[in-house]
Amino acid sequence: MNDNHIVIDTDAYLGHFPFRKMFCNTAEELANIAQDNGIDKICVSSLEAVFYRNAMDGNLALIKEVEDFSKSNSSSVTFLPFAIINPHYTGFEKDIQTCRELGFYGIELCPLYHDYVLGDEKSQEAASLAAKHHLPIRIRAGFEDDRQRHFLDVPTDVPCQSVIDLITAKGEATYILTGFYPLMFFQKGSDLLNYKNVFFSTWKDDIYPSINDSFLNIIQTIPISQIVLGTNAPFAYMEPQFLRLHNCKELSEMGKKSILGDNIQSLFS
Amino acid sequence: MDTISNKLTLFQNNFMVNWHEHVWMKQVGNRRELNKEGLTSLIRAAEDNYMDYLVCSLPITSGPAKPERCREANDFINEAVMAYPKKMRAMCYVDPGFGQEAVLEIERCVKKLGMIGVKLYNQYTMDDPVQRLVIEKCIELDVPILIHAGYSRVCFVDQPNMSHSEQIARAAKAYPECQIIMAHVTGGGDWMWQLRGIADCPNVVTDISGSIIDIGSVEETVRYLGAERVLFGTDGSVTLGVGKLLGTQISEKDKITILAGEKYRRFLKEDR
Repeated sequence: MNDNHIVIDTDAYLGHFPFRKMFCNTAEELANIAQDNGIDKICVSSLEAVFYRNAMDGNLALIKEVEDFSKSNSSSVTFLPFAIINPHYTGFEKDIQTCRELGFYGIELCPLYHDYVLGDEKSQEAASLAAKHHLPIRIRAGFEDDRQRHFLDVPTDVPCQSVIDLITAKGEATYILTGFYPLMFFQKGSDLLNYKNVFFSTWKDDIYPSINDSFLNIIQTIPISQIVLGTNAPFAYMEPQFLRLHNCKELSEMGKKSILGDNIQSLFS
Repeated sequence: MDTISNKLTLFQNNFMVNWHEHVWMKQVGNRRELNKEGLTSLIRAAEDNYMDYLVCSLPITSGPAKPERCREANDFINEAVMAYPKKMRAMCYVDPGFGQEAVLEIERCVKKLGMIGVKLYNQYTMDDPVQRLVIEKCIELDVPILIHAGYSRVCFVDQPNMSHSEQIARAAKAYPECQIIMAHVTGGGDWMWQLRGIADCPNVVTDISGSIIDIGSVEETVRYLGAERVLFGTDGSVTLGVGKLLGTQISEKDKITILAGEKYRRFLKEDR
């Protein structure tokens, strides 16, 4: 994007998903569609790292892939690698330190795939370490729509209450919540709005009253400064996330630019 | 925003039919009426995204739909079409369990009200023998059937008679003259199952409405069926529906074919 505004996608992945064939899941392919959508920076985690017992094997492969890509390619897209961290796997504390040294920009917690509940002792330790190293923590609700999940996949999304529990316990960390319906966090009466370091990506929300206008409810409830762009590529097409903003008459051009990248730019500069 | 604006010019510059949308009724005191706010919103969505036609229905989505309820629903959808005659077309909704009464309602809606197809929901699967009268009437009147559809191993327990692609294929093979739209291949559930089941049924097309925006879903739909057997639709997920086709990596020619719904264009009654 021109005039000093950049576009940052906070919600993307590279690699293979065990339950279906993926498309656009290499660095080059993902960069191509990101560039086609005007994205400047894109936060990516390794899907393999989610499923490997030792997530670091996937993280290391990811950092190599994006480094190789940046050396060999003239793409305008910059990858911001996030490390999958399993706080219940031995040595995770060292993993976070190592990831910081290797140039990861954040970590991601996957409680359902690593069989723990957000807010427990280990996840709090991970959040504290991430805060200490100035690494934002990404949490995604789930990868696929629950109606199409493989019978071996996890059947539900990450419970909102567990996310609230972690954030209220470790409010010093920065969080990027993706794939959730953001207002679910507030229907439960939480005080999450008091945490200015929590960012929400919008997902399947729309702008048409009496059809689906959840995006309008979101921008009326959550400060624009805490809403960010998240495409969930390569699971999902990127275009709906831009089309929603394009057609949203209730949001100023400045508000759109804030969501597209301004709000979160300082985390990755 | 310039990028998405440029992509939208494909929609702006080409004929575009949304084959799967709905208007709904609402309860006001002890009576029901057309939800006009929803209709207005739908028209705005169509204009935002350059849709030339909206094909809508108003199904009763749970339990048996008695003939008087179907008639009421069809009168509401007709009211919507009368409000926007150049933009909207309607599909007649019936419950095939009511046999001859369903057939009479189809005749009323198609012949008197000018509806262009029949919408079936989840009261019976498409291959249930109870569908025969409805199918034969649709063949006689030369109108397509839009059948609510989906498949999931882990979901839809509340819709035991929702049709999946194998059931639709059985009906399609029994009635090769019948034109069937398998609804929302990307409406939730296992879309690959849905595609594989109808792949060898030339009289079955699908629409790409629904909230699933998986990269590859539309490309695979075109690969299995060919673009001429794919219709554009949104089914309440307007931005997702438009956005997914914008993002699909298929030829521009195939996108234009899907937008226009070329194979089904003759059903539209554009000269109305």
